[in-house]
Amino acid sequence: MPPKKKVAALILKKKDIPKLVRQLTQVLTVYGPVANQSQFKFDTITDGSQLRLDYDTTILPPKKFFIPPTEDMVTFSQSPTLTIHDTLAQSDIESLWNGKRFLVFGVHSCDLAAIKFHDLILTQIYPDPYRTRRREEGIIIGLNCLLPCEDSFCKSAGTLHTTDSADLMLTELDNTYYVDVLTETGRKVVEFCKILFSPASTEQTKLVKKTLTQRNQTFPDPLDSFEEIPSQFDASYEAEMWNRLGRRCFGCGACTMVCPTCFCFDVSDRVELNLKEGARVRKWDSCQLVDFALVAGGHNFRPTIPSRVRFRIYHKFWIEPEQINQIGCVGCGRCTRACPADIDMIELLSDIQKGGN
Amino acid sequence: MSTGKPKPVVALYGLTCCAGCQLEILNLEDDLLDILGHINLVQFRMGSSATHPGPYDVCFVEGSVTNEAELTRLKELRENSKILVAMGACATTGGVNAIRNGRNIEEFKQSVYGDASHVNTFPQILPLKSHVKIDYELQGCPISGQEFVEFLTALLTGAEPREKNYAVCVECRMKENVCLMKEGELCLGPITRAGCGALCPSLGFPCEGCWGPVPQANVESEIDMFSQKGASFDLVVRKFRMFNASAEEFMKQLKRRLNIEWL
Repeated sequence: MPPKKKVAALILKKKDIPKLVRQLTQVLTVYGPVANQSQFKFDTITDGSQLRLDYDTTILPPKKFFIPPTEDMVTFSQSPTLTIHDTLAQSDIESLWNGKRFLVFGVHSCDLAAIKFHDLILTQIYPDPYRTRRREEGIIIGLNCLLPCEDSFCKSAGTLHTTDSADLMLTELDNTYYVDVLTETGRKVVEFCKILFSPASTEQTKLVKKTLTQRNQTFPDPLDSFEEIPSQFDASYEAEMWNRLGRRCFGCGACTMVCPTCFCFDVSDRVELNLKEGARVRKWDSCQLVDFALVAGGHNFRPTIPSRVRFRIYHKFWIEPEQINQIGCVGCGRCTRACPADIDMIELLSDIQKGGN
Repeated sequence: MSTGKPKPVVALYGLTCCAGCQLEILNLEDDLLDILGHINLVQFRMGSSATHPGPYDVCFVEGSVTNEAELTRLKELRENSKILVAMGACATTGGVNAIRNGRNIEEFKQSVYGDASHVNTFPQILPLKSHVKIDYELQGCPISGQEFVEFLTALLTGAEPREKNYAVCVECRMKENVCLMKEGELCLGPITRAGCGALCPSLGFPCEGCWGPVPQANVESEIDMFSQKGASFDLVVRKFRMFNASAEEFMKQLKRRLNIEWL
């Protein structure tokens, strides 16, 4: 939603980040990037010093806050008679502040684009009440990338500039963050912590524009004509490249687990050991797994690894553009970073562009 | 289970193994009383000295068949049980017992026992399903207590227990671990069945494959990746054979790719 009135850009001092976090954690659960062994992940922040806004990327995207890896959809209980509780209606899910429950700090543009992509599919086209509720309960503070991360191709994918789905957008500027207020919710956050924000000067605004323009020029752009990949698919559909990839691919599903735009899930029932209570659970699923396209009667629509590798790419670069007029890839590069067989998405897409042989 | 119905008669047996799977069940302290509320556990050597001749509704067997007496025992248990479950790596893949496969058993006996004239053991260890019909398998060295509880719950409610036909990587990524393959380690996670919750990788140790091969395991690619990381043939073979020396597809590929005669 657009802000009710235009709010001038603001400045937040880096040294005030812990104060901001302290203030926000009083009313919201705050998530942000933290160190995770040699990499980073989004996790709960209780102290501003945990925040690593210098992170390059995270293993899992912030998708996990809107579609958790596993989630109870309904719980049931048989004492004394069968009752079913819709988890959506449960009162333990309390709004902590202005209808919001949590805030994700420092989301990069590629992930903002992916959240927007899910808004389209999972709120507008196929309304998913669980994801929609979490989305309504969450506040997003975006963070412009000033340095490219390895294996990503956000500039080619056209997501480098995205501020969609952010309530506030930060850009690092020396010892401060330049803050764009993008939504009414963003304005409320600033209002709630107003002592920490000051108006940005004209010079600072100019400097941010210059910084971002320079950034746009220096970021790598490894894939020409990314948006034409869908039309190049027909030529490569039967190509040798899929067998070649299939020989390397483990079908392990790591790429889809870490993908910010993948949204497939499986539904199963969990019964507690007391045999009186249980839950209907949904869990991330993956088109790369052998059981994914297995149907009653034992037929499997995609019984081999090469057929599944191709399907994943086909879905993102052909089916989704056909269905919703958008490529289902934001160029974050997580699949490349996660692949134990070292399959490189940039290389793979270049191969499609070359006709697949 | 509805009240009034007799509780199913359940037995736990061990063949040649470390009994770690039974220990894993004994370790389910928070759940044991609930479990005993649902089943009549008549044979569980690690928990009770009581014995029961059968028949059993469900019989769990851990360990490998290493001699004639154990083979006879397994066949008896099969005849005596409505549902027979192979429990743990020794029973489902042969586990570490199968390291002898393809090697000279006399040398092994000599090096372990010295004078081994009294040791009567098969030269080859096979999964229990190679000897008798097995209804279900619980993988792992040892099994996961949680998977045991989930399996039992499914049986008790009449649901079909769901197999995890996917690799450890699924659980490992969901836990947001750094991929050890990417860190240069030799991890069997991509070709190993999930179920452990990525236990070893979550603690920084590469997967050793104790849950056995995942369906459609891409063994060739794993050998390639290990070789690219500088692993010697000997190390690759040791990795693959630690828990999976009886996995035919694994051995066939190793033999073909690494040109190793004895496999």
